[in-house]
Amino acid sequence: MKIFIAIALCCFLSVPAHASSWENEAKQLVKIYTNTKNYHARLSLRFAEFSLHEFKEGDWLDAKQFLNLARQYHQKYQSRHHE
Amino acid sequence: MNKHFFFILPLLCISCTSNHFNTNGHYLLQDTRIAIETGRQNHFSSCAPIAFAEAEAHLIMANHEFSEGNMDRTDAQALQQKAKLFIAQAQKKCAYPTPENVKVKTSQPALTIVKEKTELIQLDFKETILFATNSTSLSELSEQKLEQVIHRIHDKNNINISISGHSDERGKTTYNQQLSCARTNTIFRYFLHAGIHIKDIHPRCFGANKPLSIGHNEVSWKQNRRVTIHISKKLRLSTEKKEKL
Repeated sequence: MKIFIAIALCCFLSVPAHASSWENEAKQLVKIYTNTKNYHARLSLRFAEFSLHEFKEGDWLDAKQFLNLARQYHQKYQSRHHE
Repeated sequence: MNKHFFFILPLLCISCTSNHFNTNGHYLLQDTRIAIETGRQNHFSSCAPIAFAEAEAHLIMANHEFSEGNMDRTDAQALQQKAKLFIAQAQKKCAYPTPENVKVKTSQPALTIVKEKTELIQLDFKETILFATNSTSLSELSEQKLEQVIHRIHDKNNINISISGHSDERGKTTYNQQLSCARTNTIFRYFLHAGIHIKDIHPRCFGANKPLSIGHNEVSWKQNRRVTIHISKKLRLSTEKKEKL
């Protein structure tokens, strides 16, 4: 029982540590795509912004989901522009 | 205590991870979702990329806000309004040439402007696509021709694609005008789907006003039921060079 609680506690406490790196990643995406006029770039920018908004509200799970969306469009943009 | 703990903990975990990140959508966003889906089918992402991306992003964010189950829905409604605004912008930008929104230009002044401004033409060719009687659909041969045209221009910048639709002399003037516009529209959409930028395409429709062959038989009519695609690449010299010349 104690071991189980310890594992759960460790998992729970590790989220904020990841959260800061996720937040930085979202900030970086916002910085990259602020002035880029492209379909995928704009989607990535908006999702990264919304991810930051969710981070501020303390909703890490939603923030992570939106960051994943931002990453997806970031990858699409990268693949189309480095052919 | 332990039994309850082990029963509740997995439930809590499932509810947290499954979350409310629902992509199926909230019923209040149905109209906006349909508008965006229609936009996606009509390739709005190529003719109005920014507005369409904004609309899509705002729809997903609004959906998320609605699904959170907050009693205060002002944020969600504001996002929905923005999504509607952006999709309207995209629709306006991607308005296809229909008889209502195509302004029939007289070709003479446009040609003189091109002659004045264009100093050196690198790429200049014409292609004619023929249509069956009363038809706006493309034959296999026409599609092959269009593919060849697209292949020739796909990597070129600063090109000017002029699409002129025509019909034969039979039928009423207004109907012929509409038919020629619809033919132009078919080619226009084909280019858009191929990823050609909307700004490079200049659609026009002439009805039966500019026949290629002046005759009153099937041979002439066949030649006149056409869309002419004129592609040119403009390179403008600087004013200094103009003076020297």
